[in-house]
Amino acid sequence: MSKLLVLCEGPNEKKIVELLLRDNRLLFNTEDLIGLVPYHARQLDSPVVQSALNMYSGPFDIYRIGDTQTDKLRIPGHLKSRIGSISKICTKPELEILLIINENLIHVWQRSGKRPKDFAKKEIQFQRRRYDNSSQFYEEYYGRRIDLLIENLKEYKRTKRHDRDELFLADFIRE
Amino acid sequence: MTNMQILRIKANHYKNCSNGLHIDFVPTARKTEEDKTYELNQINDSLFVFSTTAIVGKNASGKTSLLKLIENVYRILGSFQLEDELMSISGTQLEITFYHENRLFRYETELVRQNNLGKNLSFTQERIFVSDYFKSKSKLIFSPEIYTELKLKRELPDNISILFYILKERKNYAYYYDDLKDQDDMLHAAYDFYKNHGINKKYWKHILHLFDDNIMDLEEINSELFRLTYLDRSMDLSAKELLTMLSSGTIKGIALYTAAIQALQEGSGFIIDEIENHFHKTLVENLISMFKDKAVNKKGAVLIFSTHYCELLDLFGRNDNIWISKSEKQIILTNMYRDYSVRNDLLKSRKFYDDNFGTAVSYEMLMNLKRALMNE
Repeated sequence: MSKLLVLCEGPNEKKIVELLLRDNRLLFNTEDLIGLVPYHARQLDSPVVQSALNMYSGPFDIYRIGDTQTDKLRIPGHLKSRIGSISKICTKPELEILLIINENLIHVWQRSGKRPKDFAKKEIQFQRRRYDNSSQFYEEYYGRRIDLLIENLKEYKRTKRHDRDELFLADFIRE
Repeated sequence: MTNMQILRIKANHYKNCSNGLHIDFVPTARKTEEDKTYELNQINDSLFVFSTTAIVGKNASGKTSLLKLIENVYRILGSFQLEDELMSISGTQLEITFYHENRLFRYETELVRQNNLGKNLSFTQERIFVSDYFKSKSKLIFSPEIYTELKLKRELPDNISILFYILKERKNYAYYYDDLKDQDDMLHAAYDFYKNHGINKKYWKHILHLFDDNIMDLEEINSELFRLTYLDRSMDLSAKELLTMLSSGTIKGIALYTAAIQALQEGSGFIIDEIENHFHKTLVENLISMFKDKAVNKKGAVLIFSTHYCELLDLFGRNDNIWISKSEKQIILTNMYRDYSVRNDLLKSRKFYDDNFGTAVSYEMLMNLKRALMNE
């Protein structure tokens, strides 16, 4: 049976996926993942991904999770026959947009002219901790509020336009 | 004159190996000119043996048993007798095809342990067949029709093989290296090679320097004392003190390289179990390449090793000198060329990772352990 290789562009995308997996809120679970975990890697030549692919020799699909994903995924010849599909799951312009949605600051952010990351660092706090671009912040912010995360992901999908080949994390939420 | 060379070993009832187990040391696939330069040693007109042979397989797949079988065959050919230390090979039926002084031989026997011989095995059911070697026989070396049985009058104790009548001189045809020996033994073995087997002093210093670039020399002053010379000082040390001064990697490296050089100088076999153990990959690659390079391997020495590291096989230009051991109900030995259809445009290591040979470590078992640790 085919497995999934989940490549997250950054540690925070990885954290969001881990939180959703932990609460079993995705259409796939850790057993579906190669190595039982999502990876922080942009390309298949990342040593940690290579090592996982050396252990698992069957077919797999790839989910790439990140914002712009302008770099093309390079596929080594020996893997071509094992890869079924490659899906882009987009979080553009930046993952922090979820926090901004949750804080109901979309309009303020839009007027600010700032990148979501910079805006969030300036404007968003949780339990007296200012947003610092760390995975720990996401753990504290959403860790016990998965329903809120899912609400934010859905709202993000409702308000955001993606290119035709780009999917949303909300598309993978188990209903 | 070319040393005795083993061409094929067949075994029945050997440990938990499947019957009909056999390993060939002669090429079956096409030979390129490049292969003749690196991968093969020529022992007569159109007769070649592998310069390097690898046995690869996962843990507990029987690699060590297979290397021990090869070592035992070298022992029989070199000393005409064999001890069965662990009482595990009595009952083994052997068929050995070898080349010696322009003749091909096929030797058959069954090894049996008898109470009155202690650990020594007796050679029963012995038969020996011979054929003069000519180029025209190069493709028939395993064909029974070219051989004639030699009728020898046996006047030897049961624990001495009739191979004595053929090979006559006792000789060490192969060195076996594993790192189960303790370090004291290893160091002494290495020093013994250097001192008593005529390893050139120049080589000895190069070996010492290779594994510890601060060491300039190591000499035995008398049976109790060694003199260890560093760049800036010398120390006289007992063997025990010496062991504390040298790292375990240095001792193993010195022991391995002295034995390897000994084999290269004599044109002998060199058998290493788990070649990758404790060494930098570059050193392992270097060791393998020394046996392939005729500028160094001038007398037709052969390297036979086991490994878990399939990346090392990417150093092999051929497929027929790679044997894959697997443990199912019994140990079975398959050949990468003979038993698998493999594309030559992929790295051999990649074929292993893609589990072309059924040797991959079980993904499920790995994940079972990881899952248990994750859920802790």
